[in-house]
Amino acid sequence: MIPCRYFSVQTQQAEESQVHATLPSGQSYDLRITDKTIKKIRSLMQKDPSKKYLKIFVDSGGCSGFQYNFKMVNGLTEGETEVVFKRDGAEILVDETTLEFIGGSTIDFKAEMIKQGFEVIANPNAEVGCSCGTSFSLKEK
Amino acid sequence: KKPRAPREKKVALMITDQAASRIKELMSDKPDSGNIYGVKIDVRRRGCNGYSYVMDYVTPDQVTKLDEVVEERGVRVVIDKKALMFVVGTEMDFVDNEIKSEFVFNNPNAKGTCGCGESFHV
Repeated sequence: MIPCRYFSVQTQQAEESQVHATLPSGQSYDLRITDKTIKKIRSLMQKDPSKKYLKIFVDSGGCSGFQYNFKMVNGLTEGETEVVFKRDGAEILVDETTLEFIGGSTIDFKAEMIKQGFEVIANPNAEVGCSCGTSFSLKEK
Repeated sequence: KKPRAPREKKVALMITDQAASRIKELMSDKPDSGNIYGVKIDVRRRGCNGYSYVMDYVTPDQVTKLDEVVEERGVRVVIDKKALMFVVGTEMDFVDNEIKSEFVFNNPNAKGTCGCGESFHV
């Protein structure tokens, strides 16, 4: 059995909303998900209906120690505790370890001329990291 | 003794097919594209490794005499005069996967880059 939970939207602001999750351990996490993120996930789902989740995971790497990674996946990973944050028909998968790193952050899709991609912004657990925004180091607790 | 070949003028910027087609796309997306001269590349002092690239649309009156204009594969890329010495000889590419799409600059002048590849030093 793969542990996983679905959660609903708590508060809705103009351009982003906060989604809340409580794990079986009692630990709870929030993610803010912007409208642009939702829109992009939905368009990715349309392009390839077999992959319907945006998975966010943290790896070691980058100039500041850790790095955010994104990929579209078709389902949950066996043997991992993953939380599904659901909003307006888009679903974001985050494993428990990654949630410890990014809980409280905002997930955004940034479209600039030079670069388009998903981003984790306003991460309360991270020191201001690399300028590119993909790498970060943890705050001293 | 063989005669020495004349020294070739260094190309300021090489534009790959992928980059060119993306620039064409960007130009046609712009509603007032008739008024746009091309895209402009500049560098900013920021990032963990010294400099990072910036790109934007440019109108004809924003292009000065000292800026370098590269016309290749049907697109026009302006290199800001301040950026020219940093980017000369660079290959401009566009990498697109389902999640992320970005312009990539393969810069022979860079002595090092950041882990993410976005900033560099010379």
